[in-house]
Amino acid sequence: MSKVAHEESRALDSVEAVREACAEFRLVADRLRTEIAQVLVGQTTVVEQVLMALFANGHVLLEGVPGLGKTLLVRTLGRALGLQFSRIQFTPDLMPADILGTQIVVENQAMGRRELQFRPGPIFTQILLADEINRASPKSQSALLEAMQERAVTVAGETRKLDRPFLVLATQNPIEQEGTYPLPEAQLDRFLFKVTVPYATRTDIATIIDRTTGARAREEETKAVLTAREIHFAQDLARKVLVARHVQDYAVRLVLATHPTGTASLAEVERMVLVGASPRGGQALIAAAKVRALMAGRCAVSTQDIAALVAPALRHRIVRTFEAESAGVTCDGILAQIVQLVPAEAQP
Amino acid sequence: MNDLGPIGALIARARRRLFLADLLQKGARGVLLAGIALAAIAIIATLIAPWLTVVQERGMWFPLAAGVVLCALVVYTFVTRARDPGDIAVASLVDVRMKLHDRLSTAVAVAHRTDPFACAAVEDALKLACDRRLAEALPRALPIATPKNWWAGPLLCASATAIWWLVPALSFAGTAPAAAQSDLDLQAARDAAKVQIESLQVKIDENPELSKAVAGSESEKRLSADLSDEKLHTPEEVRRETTRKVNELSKRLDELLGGEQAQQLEAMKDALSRIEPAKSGPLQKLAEALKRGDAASAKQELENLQKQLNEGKMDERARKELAAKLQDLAQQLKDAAAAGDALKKALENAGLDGALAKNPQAAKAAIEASKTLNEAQKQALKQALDAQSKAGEKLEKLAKACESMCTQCKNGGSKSGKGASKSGAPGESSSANPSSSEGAAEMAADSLSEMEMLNEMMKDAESARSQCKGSCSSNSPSNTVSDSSKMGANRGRGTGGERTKEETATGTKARKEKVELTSGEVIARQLVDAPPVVGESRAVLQQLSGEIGRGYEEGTEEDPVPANLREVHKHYFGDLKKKIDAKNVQPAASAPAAAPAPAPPSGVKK
Repeated sequence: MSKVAHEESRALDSVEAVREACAEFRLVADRLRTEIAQVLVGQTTVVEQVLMALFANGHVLLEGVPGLGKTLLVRTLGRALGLQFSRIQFTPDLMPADILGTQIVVENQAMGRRELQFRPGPIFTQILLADEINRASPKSQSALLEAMQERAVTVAGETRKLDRPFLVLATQNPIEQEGTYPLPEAQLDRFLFKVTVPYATRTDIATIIDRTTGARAREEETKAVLTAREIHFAQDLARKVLVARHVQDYAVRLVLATHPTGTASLAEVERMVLVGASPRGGQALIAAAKVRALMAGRCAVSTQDIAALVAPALRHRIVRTFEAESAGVTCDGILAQIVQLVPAEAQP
Repeated sequence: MNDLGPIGALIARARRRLFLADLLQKGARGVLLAGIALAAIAIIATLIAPWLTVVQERGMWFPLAAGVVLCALVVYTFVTRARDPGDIAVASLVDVRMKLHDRLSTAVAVAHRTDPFACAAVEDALKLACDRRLAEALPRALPIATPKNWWAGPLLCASATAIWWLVPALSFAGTAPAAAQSDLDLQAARDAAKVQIESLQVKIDENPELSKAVAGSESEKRLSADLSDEKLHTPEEVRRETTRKVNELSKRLDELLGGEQAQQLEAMKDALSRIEPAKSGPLQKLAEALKRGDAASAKQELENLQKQLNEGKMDERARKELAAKLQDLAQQLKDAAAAGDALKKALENAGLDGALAKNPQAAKAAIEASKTLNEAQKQALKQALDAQSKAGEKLEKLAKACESMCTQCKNGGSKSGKGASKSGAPGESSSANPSSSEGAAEMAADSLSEMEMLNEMMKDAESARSQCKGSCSSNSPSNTVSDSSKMGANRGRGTGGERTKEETATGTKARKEKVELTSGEVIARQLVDAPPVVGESRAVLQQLSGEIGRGYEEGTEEDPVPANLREVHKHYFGDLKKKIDAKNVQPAASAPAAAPAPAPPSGVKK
């Protein structure tokens, strides 16, 4: 860890330095993964994708039924990273000020007068858990927009920068749709990943029971294995990972293939997709693929990295047609078909 | 620029393997398509177009196939070169097939860059490319394998070739292809036509005079024309063309047989038949031969007689008897020459005086002046006149020869005429001096030879014409040949019939209007809707002409007029009423109303 910390001042000016940095990145990711795994049982894919989002400096929308460890994951991640952690429980009566903060009247004892003072909301943190985000009204949901995109908050005409890294981990429940406010496309687009949290396996459930009903709580024992500066360096390193033109072209072709109209659209997709992925989808694919390549110890992105991340990066960016919904075709199914149809080989 | 040595080698190897695999794939597809094409050609060649078997028969099959394959390979190579995907695409394919995380393709793509990440990527790829296991795994990732069902194409090709080579074109499926049969029929028809025409040609060439008479005519040229004309596609067309040729030759022979020479021969024969041969005597055979029209025998007899006279073996009594007989024969010949019975009859038939037959100049003038004769009749009469004249000349020559011989006999027989002959100018031939008995005999022999020649020619012409008729009828029963024997003597032309008869005041009499004869075909026939003519034949001519004038169009609908006669038809019927009106023909005022009687509607004919 310390070595990585030193790297922030070291220039990656040689092949050896690059290799060393890539290798250490992999070690750090492994260490973080191990630390989380001590608390969170199973859900390796979810953890993997959350870590990718973290190093790609993106936000994650976790979707899963209650009790699968979404909140625990975020909390553990906050502890393991040694970052400030806040949790907002989204409810219908939640107001934007409850998220962003508000100005209150305080009495200045020294001056002997009252003045307005900004009291930061829970968004002024480094890891924000927006629990059950779809339960808040759109007005409150949109309070997160600026923070997620600009990493800044504007209150009373004054813009305040958020600390880096800033990661929003929102959760939502796919069931209990009554009284919920589905996230608008503009907000969904700002999440790097939408991670679907699956049910735990038989072994995982047994382990969870053992761990949570024992004498001591493992969550409390979680240690911080990474600092904010190291995360910042890792994020910078990830941005430098090599992407060959034809690999990037593959990502572009995948994004274009989600469009219901256009030259690159696929006939099979046209009738199932109402709205295709935006350019942010392509950005998300490449950014996350870079992290994935680093985590695999490579310094260049491959088409396999991209193909593996199509579902989490694009599933919340496409809107299905009524026909697809009525036929029970999921976004993941559509994207899997696209990956199958779009050739990974470089096109002349 | 980073060195990509091992990576380049790996890509080159992969490219070769891809090329070969693609070649196999496309080759199998090409062979399948070739097989389909070959099967189609085989079926077409067997069933529809046997001419395609020429390719097979002339051994052009293998060079043609080899050429097509070579061309296909050349084109494929050029197209493949033109569509070269490039190193990155090949490397990318290898990466994907071998799950190399795009290491090779990325290295190729960033080889030109010098930043640490690019260099690291290239070094990583180089290390990978140098790995022996990768080289070993490459054939598995890029297999050069024949495509599935690759055998279908070669099998189809072999089957199609076998069908083409082993199944005869004309017995495929047990039936003769219509086209092939048609070609055979065509050739057979051409051969048959050639045989017919050649036999006719031989028949005509047997007689040089006949050949000369026919030579140069259109029919002869047409007969000589080749029947292997490309315009003749069917046996029926060949048969028709043959029939036309033979028919034209037949017409030419008809003309010859009815021509001046034939008439001359007939006139001579007719005249000679008037000779009354003696029951016995030295001239009996000569006279009988002349009466028979046997010119060859007569010539022989005449030569024998001349020889006897020249030799002087005859006694005085025999010479006198011969002289008397010769004198008698000469007189008979003169009378026959002057008679011209056939011409006399022809002149009388034409409404001219039969006595004109004895005066050719007057007869010619009378024929020219005649208003009742049409041009064809005039021509025929003139021709008969000429023929009669020439026949008379020949008979006159014979008569003179007989007189000359008679004189020789009276003078004592041998060489009696030679003195006279010798008294002539030097160099003057005997034939030029009719007074010489030898010269007269030669002239008579020439006349008889000419008659014999004409006789032979006419016989051969008659024979050739019969052969023509036979050929025409055997060629195409449906293609009727015009047969003059089935037509009237005037071949459909109006003759004018009997002389005009006097009208009577009453009574129903057939009357034919005196018309001026013109040559030509019947151009129209029209039924006229008019009151039935009953009783005395006094039709209301104006009414009739009015009906004709109004109704000719209607008439043409019922009886369509040939296109070439429409204008004439319209003009004729259109102007008829005007002409009748101009004549101002009035019906008889005293025409009684006759008892009604059924009568057919009036008809007008031209």
